[in-house]
Amino acid sequence: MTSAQAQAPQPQQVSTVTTATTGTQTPAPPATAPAALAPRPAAAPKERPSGTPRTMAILSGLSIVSALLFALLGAFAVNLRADALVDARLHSEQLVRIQSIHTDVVKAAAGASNEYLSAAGPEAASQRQAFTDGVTSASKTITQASAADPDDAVALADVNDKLAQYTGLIESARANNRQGYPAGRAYLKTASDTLTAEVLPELTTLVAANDTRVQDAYVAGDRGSTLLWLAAALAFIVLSGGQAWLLLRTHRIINVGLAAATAAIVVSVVVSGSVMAWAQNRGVTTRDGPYAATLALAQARIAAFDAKSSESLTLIKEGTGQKDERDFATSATATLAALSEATTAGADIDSRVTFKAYQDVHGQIRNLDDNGRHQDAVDKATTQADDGANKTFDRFVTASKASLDTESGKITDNLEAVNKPLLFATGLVLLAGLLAAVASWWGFAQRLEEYR
Amino acid sequence: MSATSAMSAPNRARRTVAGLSVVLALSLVSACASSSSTASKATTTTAAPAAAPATTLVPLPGCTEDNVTESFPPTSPLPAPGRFDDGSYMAEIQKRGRLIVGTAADVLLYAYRNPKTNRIEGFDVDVAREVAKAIFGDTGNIDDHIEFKIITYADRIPNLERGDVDLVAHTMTINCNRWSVISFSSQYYDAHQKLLVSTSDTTSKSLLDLKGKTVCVAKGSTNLEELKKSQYSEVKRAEVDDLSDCLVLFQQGKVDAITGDDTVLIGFVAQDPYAQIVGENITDEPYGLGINKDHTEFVAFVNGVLEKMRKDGTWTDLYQRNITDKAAGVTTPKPPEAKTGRTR
Repeated sequence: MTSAQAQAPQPQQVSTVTTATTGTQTPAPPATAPAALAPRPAAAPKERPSGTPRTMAILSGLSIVSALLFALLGAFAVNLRADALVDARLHSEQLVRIQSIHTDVVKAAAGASNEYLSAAGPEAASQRQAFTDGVTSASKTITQASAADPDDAVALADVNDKLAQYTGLIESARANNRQGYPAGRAYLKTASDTLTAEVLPELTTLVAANDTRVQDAYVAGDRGSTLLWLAAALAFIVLSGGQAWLLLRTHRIINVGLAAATAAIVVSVVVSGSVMAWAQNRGVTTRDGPYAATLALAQARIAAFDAKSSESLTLIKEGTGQKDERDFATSATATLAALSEATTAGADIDSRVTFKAYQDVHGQIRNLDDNGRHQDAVDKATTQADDGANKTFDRFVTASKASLDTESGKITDNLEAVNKPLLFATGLVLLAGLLAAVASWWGFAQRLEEYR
Repeated sequence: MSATSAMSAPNRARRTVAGLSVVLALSLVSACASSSSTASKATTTTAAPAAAPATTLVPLPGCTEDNVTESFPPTSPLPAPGRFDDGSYMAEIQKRGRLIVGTAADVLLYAYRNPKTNRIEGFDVDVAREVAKAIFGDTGNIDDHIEFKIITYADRIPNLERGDVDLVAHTMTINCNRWSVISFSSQYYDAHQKLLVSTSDTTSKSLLDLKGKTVCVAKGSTNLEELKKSQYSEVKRAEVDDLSDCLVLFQQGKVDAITGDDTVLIGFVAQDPYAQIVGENITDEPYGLGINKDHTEFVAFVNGVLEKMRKDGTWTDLYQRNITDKAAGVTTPKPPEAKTGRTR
């Protein structure tokens, strides 16, 4: 007020707030008419409607629109992230299901071959139960997995068919063995070949497909962050531009409405952005931690059951089982490698300890068989005694199942925990955008009113 | 009331559309900019590939169809158990404490593991047991002095050449090709290649009747060599590692017939009431016990054991117990004659 009054009176200045630095922007006063001294220029309305108020109205519109767009796009963006993490969780759960089918199938195979080795002895019954349990569980999970994701249904139906064929061959092996016919061995071999060549590769493909879907979900989620910040940036630019223009035209430092709108957007994007970043981080640590551990543990269990099968087959085929012994070595190596991966990703070491114990027993069995004590080797491989192969292997199965359940539980827990916060963030963005729209409108309206 | 609202409405609309388009364009650009996903590796187990041994044998010079079953003259008189010349292979076996016999475990009636007794039983292994008795004496359980090494058809010769087994009692046909790498005892069994078909097949009597059909045969067998001959070119072949795989394929309807030694086929018929052996002998398959080429005195000793068996009724007894009593439609034949004119 002071510096302005020291200079020549500025007829256009009606606001009581002045800045000391705007001395350069004074429009030229009409030199002629004393009407120029009037505080409200009557001549102005004739040119203003096509000038400042019109621009102001346009800017108002733009601000409102950009705020609303921020609301919609921002909410959409947060949703993208939320949906992506939901997808990641669903596909992870499907992958765990399919791996459990795979595990059940090889568990059944291990039971079948060990039952065969036990012939009609007392140990056979519990091994036959393991076979039946494996097949039943696999069938049930196939149904669940087909319902959970119809994309997998066709392949799973085929797996189901082949599994039925496999079961039939095992029945023939059992029937022949029961009659003392060596043809049973050939049936067991054919069954095992059917499994390896036709059932298991299909399951491996399904696992890979679901893993890809999980990875894709994480990528899709990242786009959400980008979109949110872009929408915010756009709104911020428009609102700031509006404020700057107002500042120039009206010499008012702050437009409360626009300032409030900008603040709302900035605050909401920072909060929501942080929530999204937190959710993303959650997702990434889940992927690199419990998800990777779950994958590896399931792989380890599958390879371990394969090894157990090979152990029985080597003994069944007696001196002609060299290939099966090589398969055992390959499977055992794969098991240990997968267990290493699992512990790196955060799983406990119990599985490794118990599997090594089983490997030791297998070494004893091999020793007996290679030194001509075939029957003793078979006894150690089929007995239900605590120090035999079966019970030792069961301890590994129990330990690894516990680890697997823990890790896969973490996937669900971690990815479900982000739902509410992301919902909150969506709401926040929507609300902030709406508020910003209203505040922008109000901010411009205040100024526009001065032209009426 | 405001003069500005009416005028700027279309402008506002235009600007709105323009603004919307810009935003949409921006979001499309951001959507397209995606980083490549890193797929996590799923570890898979791979089975080690099976080694396929391929041996091409040439016939021993001077060996003909007439003299192929000739083996070395039997040691006579047969030394008593434990009383062998120092340095002889029998002395070595005795010192070791066990006779290592390469045999099968799934040829019913000839060499198979009986799941009820868990013993390897059959005609071929009983003949090998007689050899063990002649070395260690017939006291108690002779199986205490025998190590049965279960091997495939294809492993019979390599095991003998390496010295991993002392004797092969594995439905092994004597032929001139094999004489060039190993020795045989005198003939202890008279087998023939035959044809097995379904009981519902009333017309097929020979391999030639199976043109256009599939016949199953074992790799590494003389039966496969026969089937590869030109007159059978129109007969389709299914080649398997173990002959018992053929029974599975046959029962599943995947092959129409099986060809192999009647010894194995008898075992199949014993396991499957819908199988029958038909037709004439396709080839002669004289069986001998396989022995490493360098142990001629051991061959002579084994021939002595076989000669004793022929004469004192043991051979007939073993045949009766293992085959005639267990398979339908079989009568006990006379033991095959021993030809023993070989000098090298």
